[in-house]
Amino acid sequence: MTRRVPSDVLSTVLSAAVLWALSMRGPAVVVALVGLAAVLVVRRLPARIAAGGVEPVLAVAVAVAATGVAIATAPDSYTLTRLMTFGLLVVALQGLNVVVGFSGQLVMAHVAFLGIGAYTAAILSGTYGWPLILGIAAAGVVAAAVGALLSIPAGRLSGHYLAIASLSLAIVFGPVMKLDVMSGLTGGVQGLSFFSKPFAAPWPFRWLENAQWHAVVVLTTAAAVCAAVAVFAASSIGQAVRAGRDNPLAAASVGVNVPWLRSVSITVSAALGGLSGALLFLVGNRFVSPDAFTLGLMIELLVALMVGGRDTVLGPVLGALFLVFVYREGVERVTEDFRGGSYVMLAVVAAVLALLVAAKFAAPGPRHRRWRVAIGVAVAAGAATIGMATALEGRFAPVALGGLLMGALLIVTVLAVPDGLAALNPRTRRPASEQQTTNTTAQLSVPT
Amino acid sequence: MSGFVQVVLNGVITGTLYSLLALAFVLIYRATHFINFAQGELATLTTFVGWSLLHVGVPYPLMFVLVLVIGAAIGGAIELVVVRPALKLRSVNELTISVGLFLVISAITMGLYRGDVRQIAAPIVGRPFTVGGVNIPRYGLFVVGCAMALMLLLWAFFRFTTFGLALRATASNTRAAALCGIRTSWMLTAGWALAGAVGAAAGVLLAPIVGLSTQMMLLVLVSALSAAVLGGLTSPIGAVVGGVTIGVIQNLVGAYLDDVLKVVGIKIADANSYREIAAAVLLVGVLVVRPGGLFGRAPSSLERV
Repeated sequence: MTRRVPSDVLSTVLSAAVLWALSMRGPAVVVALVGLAAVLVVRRLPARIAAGGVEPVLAVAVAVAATGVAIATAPDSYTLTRLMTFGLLVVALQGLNVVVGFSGQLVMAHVAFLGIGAYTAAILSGTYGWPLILGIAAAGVVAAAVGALLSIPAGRLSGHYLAIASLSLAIVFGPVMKLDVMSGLTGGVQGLSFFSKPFAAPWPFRWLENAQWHAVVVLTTAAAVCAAVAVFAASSIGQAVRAGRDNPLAAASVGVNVPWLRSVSITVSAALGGLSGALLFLVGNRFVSPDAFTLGLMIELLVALMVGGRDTVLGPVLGALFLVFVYREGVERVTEDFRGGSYVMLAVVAAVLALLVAAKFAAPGPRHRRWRVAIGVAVAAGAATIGMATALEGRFAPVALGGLLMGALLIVTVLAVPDGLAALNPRTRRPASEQQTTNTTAQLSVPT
Repeated sequence: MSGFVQVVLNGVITGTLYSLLALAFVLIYRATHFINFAQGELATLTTFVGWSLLHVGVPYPLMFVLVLVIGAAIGGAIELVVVRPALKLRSVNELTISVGLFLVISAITMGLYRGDVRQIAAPIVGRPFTVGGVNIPRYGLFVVGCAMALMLLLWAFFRFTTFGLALRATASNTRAAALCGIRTSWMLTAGWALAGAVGAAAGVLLAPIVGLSTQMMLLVLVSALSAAVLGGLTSPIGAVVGGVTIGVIQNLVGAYLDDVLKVVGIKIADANSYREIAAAVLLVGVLVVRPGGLFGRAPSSLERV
């Protein structure tokens, strides 16, 4: 008797494989994009398969822990660094997900929490000589305290105002750390570095190299965080937080303390951000610089969360995969391929992107006609790309091409997959009744 | 005393540029509830196009007008192609699309014009006017004059023309406007086109001051966004007030913070690094007291992300 693989595991594996393949070169990118389109098309798996019982969180935890074991045997240090970055980004994104996804507050100051955590770990374990594990734990606590403090004014702001206000806090974090008045504590412009204090594996794990031990620490922390967030999301507190996001009035009327839970969400998110920052300090060879926590990083985190899927436990993991293996690497790969003169690949990429968008937005009608329109648009897009590339030959700097494709990929992903990749799994997709938008609400409200 | 006035005056000049860009933000936000991070990059691109026009010998006034038209065209096109489908999505996705637009447009600018710094000559040169010990740079006067003329034109447009009235109606209540027979889809495109034009003007005015490069607008973008939020995202007056306020405060901090702190006994090496921090503190402070910005309306708690 054959075991039917549950659809969530299937879509997880498929998405992860697609994202990993996107980091390869040449035709593999095409295959990966075609695969992504296929995932979108076949997402309506038969109901019998979807009835499987494996929770996404288990899939996530297994994936992360398995990676943790795998790196124990991988001597290749570049892969190890990427895996460690993946792990700490999972923690950071889970934190961002708690406040942006579960609680619905656009707090864009997450990078500042990362920075606070990194500096706390550096100061405590470097300057004051605490054991590193304690330093990392303390980083989470300190960041949580700052988050709790910030949640007081944040409770009064909403929507875009909160986003921009917290964004400005994130922007000034770097300059504040660089100030001379603080340089006694923070090292000013040069940052803090403690290369000479290695963090080696304790007794039962002596057979691991230092780098491998760091990776094990980071990845098991990430797995633990995923499990914790899954428990939080399924608990009554998590449900209450989401209720407060979806309809604050109704939630308040059944006794949910919405402002308190909003503060709690920001605090938890800050704690996870601080934890991730401390891991960053570890991964960065015990060196932290004020220039590492920029607006660019905040935007990368936000984008990764959007693409991976917010409001699910799986989303941040997919988002971290996307960020490490596609976003940061894809730019260079595509540029190199373009320099080789392969307009065809460019055209195919453009065609697939156009297909994704057209399939979603083509005029409603019989399914085959919609697909014909979509394919027509895709072919037109491909031809137009080849035409433009030939016309602009020599006038367009290839170095800009990566940014162009990344931006286009972002726009297309948000248009075609608005709830992120994790929403491809029917079990983690949110109910359709929640698809209302702020515009509708604003129109229905009585003008004051 | 004249030093103080000088500092304030310079702040007013940079603040006016922030106001222009903030006005573009507010125009788009009022029309489509969308925060357009790409506004700065749009302005940079159109300014580069203006540079190309100057390069082939187009006179400055004509170039200015053409740049406005091109900015409007690009803004409207972006609305039709990218933003229209995105309006059905949530705020967070709009931010991501904003970021995507930012990447795409800055990549196009970088690709077409590469990374060199180019110069746009100021159209008005000469020694600064001196009034009571204060130097008033001629180009600065030109910048403020142009900006005020633009803002006046915009105000008159919104207040006295039917099209402006239709735009205001659509921004206020889209369904009611549609029921009155207004083509709301055209209004949305027009809002973006106007914002594109205003942003383009800001770019062209800024270029002679800081030099034309692909990074030109990045610093201004953050200050302009803060200015827009400070004044209230739905209020054009707020954008102007916010922009000038932030410009002046930044200059004051840069010039006087070390002296002020010396009185209290704190020594700082370089007051200029506190400029951004001052702007951020101002923004957060105002928002805590007035969650909707100085002149804006705070969104109701029913709004969802």
